[in-house]
Amino acid sequence: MKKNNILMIALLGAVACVSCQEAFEIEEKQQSVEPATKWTLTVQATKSVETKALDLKTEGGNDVLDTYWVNGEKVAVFSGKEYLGDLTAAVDASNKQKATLSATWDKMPDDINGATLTLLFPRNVWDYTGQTGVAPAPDGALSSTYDYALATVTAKVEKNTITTSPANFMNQQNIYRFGFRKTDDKSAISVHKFVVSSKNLVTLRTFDGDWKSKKGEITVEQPASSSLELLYAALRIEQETAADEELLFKVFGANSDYYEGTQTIPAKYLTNGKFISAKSVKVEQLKLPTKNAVPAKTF
Amino acid sequence: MKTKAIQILFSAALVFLFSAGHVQAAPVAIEGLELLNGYKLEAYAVNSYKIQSVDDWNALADYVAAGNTCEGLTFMMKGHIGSTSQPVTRMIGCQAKKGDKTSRKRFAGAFDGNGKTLTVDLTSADTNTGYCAPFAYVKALTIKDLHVAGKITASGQWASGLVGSSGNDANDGKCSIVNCHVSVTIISKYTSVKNSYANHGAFIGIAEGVATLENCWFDGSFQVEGNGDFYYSGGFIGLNKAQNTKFVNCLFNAVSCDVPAANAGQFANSVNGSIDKASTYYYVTPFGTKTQGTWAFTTEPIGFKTTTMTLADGKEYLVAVGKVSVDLPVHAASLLNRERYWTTFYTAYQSFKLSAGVLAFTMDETGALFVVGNGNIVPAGCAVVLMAEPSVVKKGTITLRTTGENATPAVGNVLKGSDTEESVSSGTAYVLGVDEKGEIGFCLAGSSVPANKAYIVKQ
Repeated sequence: MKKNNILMIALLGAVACVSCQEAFEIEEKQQSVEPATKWTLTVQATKSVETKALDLKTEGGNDVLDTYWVNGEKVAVFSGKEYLGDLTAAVDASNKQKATLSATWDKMPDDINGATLTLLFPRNVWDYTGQTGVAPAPDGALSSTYDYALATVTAKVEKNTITTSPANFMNQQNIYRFGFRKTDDKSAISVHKFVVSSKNLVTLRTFDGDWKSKKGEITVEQPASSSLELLYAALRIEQETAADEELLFKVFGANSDYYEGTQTIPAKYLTNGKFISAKSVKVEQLKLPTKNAVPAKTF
Repeated sequence: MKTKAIQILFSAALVFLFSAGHVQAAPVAIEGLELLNGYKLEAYAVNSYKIQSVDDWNALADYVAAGNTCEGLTFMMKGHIGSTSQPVTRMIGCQAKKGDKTSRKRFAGAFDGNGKTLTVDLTSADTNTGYCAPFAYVKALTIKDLHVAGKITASGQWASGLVGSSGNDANDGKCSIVNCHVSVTIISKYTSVKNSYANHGAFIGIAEGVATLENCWFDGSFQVEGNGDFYYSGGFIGLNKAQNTKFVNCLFNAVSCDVPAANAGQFANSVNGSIDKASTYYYVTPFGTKTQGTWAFTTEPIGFKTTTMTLADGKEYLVAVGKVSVDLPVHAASLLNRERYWTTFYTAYQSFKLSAGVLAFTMDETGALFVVGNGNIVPAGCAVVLMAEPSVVKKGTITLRTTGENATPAVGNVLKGSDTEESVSSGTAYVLGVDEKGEIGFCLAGSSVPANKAYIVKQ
């Protein structure tokens, strides 16, 4: 009798286990057949003149910045603190200053409907370090890496399709062109690199729902194979109140010669999106004199 | 009866002991070694012969050149051989033509310098005559307690202050060099071409068999004449093809070795050969481009942790056991209307890396400053001015960190430096400072300049 009871318990246990396994397998199958959600985000974007330094052209004898979208350009999308991904530009055939930015993503924040999205051109990191001095051009590093433009839009959700209010991108820095001359004989300096700093010069910005700026100096260094006399730089000067800004330059010549100098940028030019040319920044070579005097203090 | 037996045994024991003592005390007939043409070396023990003059050395050279290896024989110097005015000019060992190993006449005896000096003036005839060395060709040789002085003038490859070729291949026996001191000047007149490099070394030209060097030191010079060089050479071994070549407490302390020495090794230029990892070897003077061994200093160096050791020459040195960063005091002064912090620096021993905000400059005769490389490296042996932004100065100092990186300074640097305080014997020395107005510049230094600082001298 006792043996029969044990057999019965074992049989019941085995049946229970089989039932469990079947239940889990069914659940797995149900999960695997559920279709993935795809979200489509589309933004109608515009750039007006002085919003994006993309190319340099000459009009009436002066160099000006031409602005337009290029197919395939990227725009980073942030919702609150979260980086959602990149949109890709498709240029309007009739107006290159307009483009449709779009992407398809697998997931989207729950509170996306009505959310304010921050759009950052041309990448998801806002960093001015590492510039090489090349002139703005559609395929140049200055345009594709350092020519930041910003827009904010409001998202509207219909099923899995998200549209936004129009995005009007505003440029976030000036594009500068610098050339350097010696103070003594006014001759041009063959520059290998220069370091620029000022009271309000921004080196990078981070986003945690708000943009925060770090200030410091920026190095513009040509590749070894390059020997440009005029160097370009994207510089963001972030003043609390508008004023003239003095830029301090440390200039490293191609022959290891070293110079320093300053250039004041008038307040009226310090509107983001301007192209500012300073071809004759005066810098002086550092020299230490020999003195036939007993030193008051030796170093 | 018992007493008589004891007496007999005692007597027998006495006879035995007496006999034994008598055999030991008996003189052994040791004979001198007859060389060529009846020339004889005096023996001092069985199979052991005295080298007492230049004539003895030359006769031995003739004997080996005739094909006698001297294997199993020992030769001991009983006095100094040669002098500056009458140096030894013959090498022991030879070969018929370059590259013909089968024609080599090699010395395979043992050589005991007995603490004496062999003064040589050896010259190789032409570029095809290599292995210019007192012992040009040897096999399974032991040399000990020998000091070699004088001059080696090499028109060919593989010159050395002691041994030219230490073996033909890895099957040759061990070449052992113990307690030897080489202070010759090796003058290279040989111009390296691709795959035929100078390969000179202070102790061995080419090591092919097993080689060990123990308690040996070099304090001679490497020099060049014409387009000569020391490419692919070694401080001790010019071309090391032997496996696990071992250095035990060896020291490279050249009086001068500032010669063209691309791809040369501090101790050995190894090609298909290797240095035993347990080697203990030290250098006071850096040589070549391949660092080997441990740096030893005569004065406390900047940037190193050291310990005091007695090395092969019996002198005490400060031997490097690690590297340390250096905190340099800097001083504020204004230039071009901006206040910066300044100092100067020099050391021959070690390159340093600077933190961001500090620049290293050389200076030309007009006082113009030139950045060294990217400005963030102070190369060993380059006197520099250092300029720091105020934001990077901590407690009045900047930190220099040791580095293996290097940078090429601009030509025409007038800044000089020394690792020791130096007196200025000629001209007027200037050091960086401020005058009474607080203006920065190079001001009068007085009769001496401090260690590890840059200075200029004007005539």
